[in-house]
Amino acid sequence: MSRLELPLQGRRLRTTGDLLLRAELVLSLKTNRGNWHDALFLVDSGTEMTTMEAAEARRHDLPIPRKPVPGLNLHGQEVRAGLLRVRIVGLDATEYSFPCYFLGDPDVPPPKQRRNLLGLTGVVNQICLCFDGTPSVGAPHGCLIVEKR
Amino acid sequence: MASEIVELTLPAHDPTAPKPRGLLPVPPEVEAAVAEEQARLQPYFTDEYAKRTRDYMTLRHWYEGMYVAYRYTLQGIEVLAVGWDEVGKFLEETPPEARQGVFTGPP
Repeated sequence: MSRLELPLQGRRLRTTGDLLLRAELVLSLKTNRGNWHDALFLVDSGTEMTTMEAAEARRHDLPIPRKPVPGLNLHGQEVRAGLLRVRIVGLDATEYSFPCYFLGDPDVPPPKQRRNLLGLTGVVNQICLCFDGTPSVGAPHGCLIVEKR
Repeated sequence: MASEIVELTLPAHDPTAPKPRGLLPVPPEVEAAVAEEQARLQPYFTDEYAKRTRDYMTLRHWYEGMYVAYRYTLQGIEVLAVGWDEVGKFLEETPPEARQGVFTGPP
């Protein structure tokens, strides 16, 4: 399948009663041994570069650069500029390479665990990501549409 | 960095609140919120979407912002390990086939 529609996930805040929406995508990530590890990414059109904790990447045996980029820092953490080899769960078996910044020291548990973010750079030239708020059966708040280019 | 609203009133943020393991109990307030939304958003809010929302809100209720290993089951959301060290131990001791469908990270 070259098109995937994933319901936007809603949650209601107990404090205000507001409904908050998010778009999540499961990526299957290729490990150093050629196995695949499924990981959840928050799709974020406000994020320039896909990010993942370096320690989390190491934990799941994902290939990451040995050395951080000198002079580059995100949220106070060192940055390793690498690639994620991915398949998109629910789409066809096409393998993509997405640029990714691995944050922090891979050998040290992150002080604050951040979620994986799927950003725009090097992604939207390979797949089309569209947020559509039209309700449909099984997707009352709309969908994230993922299409192969 | 994505903006994320954190609800400090959730038990997840109360260090004194006991945190259930295994199949998580669905808090009554989550059940009520899901039922209300399902009634309001017919015919779009299907039973399948209700389950997904119930699981998601339940996980956040107990573990928002915490590092956990969890999986979605037919019966609900199951938490398998909590915290960096415990999750690491779980991953080391669990064969790959038994880790299918397990996600790690903060809900």
